Amino acid sequence: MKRFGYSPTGVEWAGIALILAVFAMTLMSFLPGGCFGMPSSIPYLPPSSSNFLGTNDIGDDVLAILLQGSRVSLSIGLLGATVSTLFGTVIGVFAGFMGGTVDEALGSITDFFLVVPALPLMILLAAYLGPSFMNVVMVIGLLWWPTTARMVRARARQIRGSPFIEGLMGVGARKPYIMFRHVLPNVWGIVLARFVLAVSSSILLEAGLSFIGLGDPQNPSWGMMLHFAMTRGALLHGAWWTFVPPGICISFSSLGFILIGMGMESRYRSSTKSIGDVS
Amino acid sequence: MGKIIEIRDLCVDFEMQQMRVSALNGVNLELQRGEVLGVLGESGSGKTVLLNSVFRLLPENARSSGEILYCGNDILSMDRKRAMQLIGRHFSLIPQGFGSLNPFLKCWLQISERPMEHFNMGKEEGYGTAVRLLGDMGIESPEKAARSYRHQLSGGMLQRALVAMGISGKSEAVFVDEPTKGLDERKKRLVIDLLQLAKQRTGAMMIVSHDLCFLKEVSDRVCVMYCGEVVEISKTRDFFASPKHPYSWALLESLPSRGLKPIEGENPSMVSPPPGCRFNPRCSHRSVRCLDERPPLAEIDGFKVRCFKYV
Amino acid sequence: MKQLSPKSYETPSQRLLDSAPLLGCRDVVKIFKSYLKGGFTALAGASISIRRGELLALIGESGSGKTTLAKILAGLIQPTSGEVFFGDKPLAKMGSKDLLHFRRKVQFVPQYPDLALDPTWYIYDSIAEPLRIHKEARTREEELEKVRSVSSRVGLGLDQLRRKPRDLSGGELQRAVLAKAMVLSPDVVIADEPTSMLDPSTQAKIVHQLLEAKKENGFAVLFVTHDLSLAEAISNRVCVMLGGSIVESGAASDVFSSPLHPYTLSLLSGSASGLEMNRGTGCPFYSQCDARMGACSKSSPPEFMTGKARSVRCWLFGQDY
Repeated sequence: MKRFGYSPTGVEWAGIALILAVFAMTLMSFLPGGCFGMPSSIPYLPPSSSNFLGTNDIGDDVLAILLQGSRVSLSIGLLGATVSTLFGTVIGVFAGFMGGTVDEALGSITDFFLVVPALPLMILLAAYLGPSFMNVVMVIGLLWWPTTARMVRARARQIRGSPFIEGLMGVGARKPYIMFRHVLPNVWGIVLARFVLAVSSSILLEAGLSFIGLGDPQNPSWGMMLHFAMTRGALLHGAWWTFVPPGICISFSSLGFILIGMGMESRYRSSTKSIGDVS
Repeated sequence: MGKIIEIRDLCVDFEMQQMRVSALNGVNLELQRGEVLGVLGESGSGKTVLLNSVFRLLPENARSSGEILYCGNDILSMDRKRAMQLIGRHFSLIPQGFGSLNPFLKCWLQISERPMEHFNMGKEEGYGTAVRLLGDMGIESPEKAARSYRHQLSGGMLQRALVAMGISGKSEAVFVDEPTKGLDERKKRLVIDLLQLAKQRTGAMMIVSHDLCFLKEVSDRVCVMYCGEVVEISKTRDFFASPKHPYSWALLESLPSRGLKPIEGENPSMVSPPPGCRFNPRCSHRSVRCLDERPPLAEIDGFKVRCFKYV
Repeated sequence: MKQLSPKSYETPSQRLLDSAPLLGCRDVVKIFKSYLKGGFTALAGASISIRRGELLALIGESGSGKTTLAKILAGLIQPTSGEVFFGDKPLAKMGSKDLLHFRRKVQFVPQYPDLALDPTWYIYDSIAEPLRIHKEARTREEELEKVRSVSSRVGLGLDQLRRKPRDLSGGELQRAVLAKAMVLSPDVVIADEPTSMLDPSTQAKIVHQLLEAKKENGFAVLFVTHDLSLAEAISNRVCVMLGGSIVESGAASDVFSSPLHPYTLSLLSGSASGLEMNRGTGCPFYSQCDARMGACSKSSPPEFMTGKARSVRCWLFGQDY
């Protein structure tokens, strides 16, 4: 880590450990089936040496499904975050750097998406578009960009006002050039931090959507496991092993990303203090 | 004349990731009752660190040794809570720039904050004190200014408020940090007038600055710092007439009114300062002895200088 | 006065004063719009011209509008009215090709060196950037050669070029900014208080490097400053600014030895008080002037020429000329 000029703090180490654990789960899910426990004919089998986390309502091994689920949660998390961060960054940089009418127009669009109640819209969209992997990604991407756009915009505005941009204008640099070569590298830190935070939110959103039954049933995620536990009577059976493990996975994986994201944000803030002092 | 503060062999090091930066190296200095002491140094000379160590404001990675004595008590080694109380009751600080005024507090609250905190001054009295001080500073409508926020006041008013902050309570010594940085002549004039006013209301004053012309007008004694060391302490008049240390001399020569002659070489790095006299790589009077032996701070006819020329 | 033959009269500095202005502006007004206070008049009809190869000092206090004027001359902000010209062409009517030429020939050095370079870029790239924008260097080697020669002129070594702005001291940064301004071999360098944030010895060094580079390359410098002694030490010609207009201008030796405007006089004698300037109608110095007359409060005085290339804005000089 020293080589990258980056030494994580304790909190960030915890985040990194959690994320590595999730990735490990995903990797393990690619091992050939039956490594962890065979499907049993008996539903709601409690944890035992043959099925570490017991079986669910149709007798499938919970651990195997849990590992499978990590793929879905993680990929939706990463993809959703990519879409929303990309969208937010482009709009934020444009609005912040161009200023004036462009800023106002993009700003009002951003504000509109910020005030729209996210959860109902999300449910509506997911229900309307139908449950599929890509649709969930799109819904998350659509709803998460405004906050990123706001932060990137604020930072881009700050950079736009700093003397070195003025100097570049004085040298005759064109606006697109300044935007790509100077503004973008300077907002990069914030974009990265927002991306990591967006991953965690995407994982949570996906879990929420799946939990209310709007996820893709073809690829059962952790949220979907909770959904099944809820609807198929695992709660009544007291089969805690079907819903506690996915719950823990959801919270710990999103926690991991949040910890790292927050660490990055504060690191970034302290490293760019000087630009904030522009009078 | 009594000493208010006596600094003995103060060394401050900062521990960075892999290196140790020596910011102050064996500083000996005292602040006498009734004087204005100017601490003169360029950026990186350690003058701000000196100020911060008197106020116990050093960051966590600082390692300090030596003593800062106030009435025989060492501020540096004292229990932090007691030290803060002592510092708050006896010293005050005029900070640098308007950034040190809280934009969300009314002016009078900040001016009287120290006496209200340390001398059990009531709100009424605090407000009265602030208004009176602002009036003394030459503000035409002090009540209005006292009730204003930072952004409502002009630069001159803020300057007055800052000085008022420094002299609002009883204090034995006022410390002033870079009062003229980036100010033009007219504002400098104002600061000089204000500080002279402040001087009458306090025991002693220590001004940290890199502005030679400014110190020439306000201070009684000048202490020149270079690369974490005190290289010369003289009376102001003597200093500007005939500086003793080669660095002081070169510094004066670099003023526009004296020929604008730059000093050869660069400011040395604080990580690995040159051995011997720290000014030796840039000095025109360098001898063999300067290269590996650190000159002592010799006292001759009322001035102190750290140079082998005078030993 | 002794009559001199035209030939002997023409000293180098005189020739300088006679040559056509290279960059200048006429009656520039700049009003900054502000929704709260209606508007702030930073410049109230300022005219200035910079001639080839001279060092013109623009003296003024904070709030006198000197930075605004410098930025308008550098084409960084648009004036509300009045025109800026480069050579004989007004800036407002320039095509994109001419404008690019103007951008190459007029360079601006800002006040805060620590904010004047992109914090994410290496110093070398920052200095080379103007070359890349104007496609001045055809090959990597040519670029390296140019950057190295210009950096060594201001005293920056290769070691510093490989670093990023946060690893450099204020003096080194200001040198890098100077190098960036000089890399395109400009005709005019507009330096906005380039040394006000620096220590005295660093200031001396930077000024020396600027003067040396100026001697070598022959560009003109507009040196904006509030430091009178510095202006006196380095300039050929001086403009004194007050309240958004230029109240006195002339050869440096004349202005410093025999100031005409009461404001310049008060600046030079160091008797300037802490009072605020008059922002209403009339002369901006009205409220503090010892020689004020009835006319001073009513209208602000126009520019009176009191000699060759010497002008003053004060009613005291109105009757004679």
